Amino acid sequence: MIRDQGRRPADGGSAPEGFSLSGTVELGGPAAAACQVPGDPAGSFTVLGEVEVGLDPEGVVVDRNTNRAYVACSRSNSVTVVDIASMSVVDRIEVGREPIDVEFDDESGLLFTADARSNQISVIDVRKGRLVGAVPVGTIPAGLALDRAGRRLYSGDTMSASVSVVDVDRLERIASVPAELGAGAVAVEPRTRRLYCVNFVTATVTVVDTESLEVVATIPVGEGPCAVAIRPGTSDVFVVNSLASTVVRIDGTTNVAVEEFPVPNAPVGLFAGPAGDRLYTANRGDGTVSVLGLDGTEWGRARVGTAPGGVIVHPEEPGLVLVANAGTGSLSLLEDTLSGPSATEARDSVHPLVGERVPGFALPDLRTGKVRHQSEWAEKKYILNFFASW
Amino acid sequence: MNVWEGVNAVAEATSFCDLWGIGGTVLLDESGELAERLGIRGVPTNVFVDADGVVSAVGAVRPEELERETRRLLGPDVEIEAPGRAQMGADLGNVEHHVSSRA
Repeated sequence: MIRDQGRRPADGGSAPEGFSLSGTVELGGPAAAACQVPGDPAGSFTVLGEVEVGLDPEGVVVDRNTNRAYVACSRSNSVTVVDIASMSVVDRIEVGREPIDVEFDDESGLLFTADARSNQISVIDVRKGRLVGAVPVGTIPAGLALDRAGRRLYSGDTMSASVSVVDVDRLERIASVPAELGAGAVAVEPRTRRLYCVNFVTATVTVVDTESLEVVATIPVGEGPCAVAIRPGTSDVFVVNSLASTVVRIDGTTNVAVEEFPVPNAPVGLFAGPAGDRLYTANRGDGTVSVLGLDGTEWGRARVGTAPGGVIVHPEEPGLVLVANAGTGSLSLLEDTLSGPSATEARDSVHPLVGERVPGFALPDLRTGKVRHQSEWAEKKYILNFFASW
Repeated sequence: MNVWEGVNAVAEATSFCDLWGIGGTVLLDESGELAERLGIRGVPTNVFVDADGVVSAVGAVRPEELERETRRLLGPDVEIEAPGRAQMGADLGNVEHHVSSRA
């Protein structure tokens, strides 16, 4: 059912009143380009579908019991609920301002969002389909990690330069541990019970013993670390550096960064595959998701929506990958059947615009509001830098 | 070129530029129409344009790529100021200002 490539979710559906369904983004054309040919013995990494979810979607989780994805749409201040089988939006739940990351506790049915501009974690009971509370944390929480065994939730609080520790049963912040400026993405290694927090501004990872809540190490990584993932069953900790466009491997037994390899532009999302043999990076600058072997070899790369970020593997379907595209405002569903480097592995190719004349444009100036024309820069050498504040 | 801001593009882009100390001309491509026409698929992306209006490179966001393509665009005789962390404006004062203006 899930892998029925021919399906096309119907527009409309059973959405509650009060918001309009955005429907699906039509596949086809360059956006749907996959990187493998049929019959490749190494398998393929291909886009199955895409659904519009809201403004600047970032974090995504799946409730395995209902096969629904919950997507934190940061600029919509809400969580969009997607039925994965039909790839259609079934609900939208308001939370605090700018929810970035999201976590889900199967046991209690509670969903948590880190609301960056409300300095809180919103709590949604998915069985009731509504907001049931909020836990105040530090300033600009941006990343969440759930320690199911320890019944704790951790948030990386960017401007407080710390990690909040929340008791998920009492829904209270019980402690705060110092990290560094730009603290954001966090992950807990389930065997050592150590927490890894990436600090974007200081380009480091803070390691915390979750028993004593003491900082045990601070590890320099590359520029702009954005996400962290732990290879299942091991102490290998991987970090993506969005400014350096690299992945770093930290040996969790020694807390030393031992390896760094290049990936496509501006990786901001990272997920370690459940079998422990691969990584996924969402490359925000490239509009793609890469499948990487543990040695950094790129097995495959698929074009998704623009400026992808959050990437996860479906908890019940190890070949199914979900990606939130911040630019397009959509959720992509991909199928990964790769077993190693693909014969048609994606390679960096020359962008089709290179060698072409830049087309004319007329756009408003941020500071004056006046329309500026491309002809102003005729006969000059210049660089157009495309950026977004998120 | 600010793109795909979603809501409040002027306020968001202004706050962001203040935070990171971004001077110079900033244009708003709110709908992403120009990005789409140019085949830009993410952020950040740099488009290098020569004096004939011809694109010499696209992408090039790693520091070493940025320097290489800038050098190629400007030629060997022009002095380039290497971008560093300090010049990105990532200092505490700016960050705190950013936070208070967002709150």
